[in-house]
Amino acid sequence: MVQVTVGNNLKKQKVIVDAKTTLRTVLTDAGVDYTHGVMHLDGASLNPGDMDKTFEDFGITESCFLLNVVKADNA
Amino acid sequence: MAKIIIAGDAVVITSSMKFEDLLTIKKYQPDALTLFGGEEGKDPIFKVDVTTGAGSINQFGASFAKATRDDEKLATLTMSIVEATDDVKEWVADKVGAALMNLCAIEETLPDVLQGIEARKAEIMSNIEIAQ
Repeated sequence: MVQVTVGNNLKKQKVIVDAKTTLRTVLTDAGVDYTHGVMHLDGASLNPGDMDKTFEDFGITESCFLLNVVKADNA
Repeated sequence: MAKIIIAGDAVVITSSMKFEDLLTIKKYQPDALTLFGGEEGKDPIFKVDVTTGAGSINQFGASFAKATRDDEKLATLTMSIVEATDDVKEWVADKVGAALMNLCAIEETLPDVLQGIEARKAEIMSNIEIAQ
């Protein structure tokens, strides 16, 4: 099982999921809008197609951070 | 309580719950498979799940992957002994002892949860009428 800290700049929560769960499932269940900003898994940005991979596919077996980072436009 | 059997380098942990029953609880009342804690009692600290493959167990939860081959069909997971050790029982107890305590705490509540689910399902079934 994997403890995932999932969220965005404003709000984070810890959830525990099976390692064969996809990133998309965790984000959807947590209500995180991943269509804006950049998704990061343990600090590394994700690429198209990564959302349907499992934590096991990424070699994550215990814990990780799955965060959506939105960078606001500067004046 | 879950049982542990060591055969060679394989450690098989067998739940006190049937694999099908865990699937049922996951479908109808998934929160019953999570042990909550923390200051307000809302933080998940340990979770039981069902999965494919061999299953796994660590400090965050236990994923059962198969059912026993006998008539009881209890949920099982298999892990490997990956370190050389003289006292394999001690090694297993050290690796999964804390997880097993949390697993036991959840398993103690599941029979009542299952009973409640089956009662509600029976009520729903009794309200289904086949007209034609």
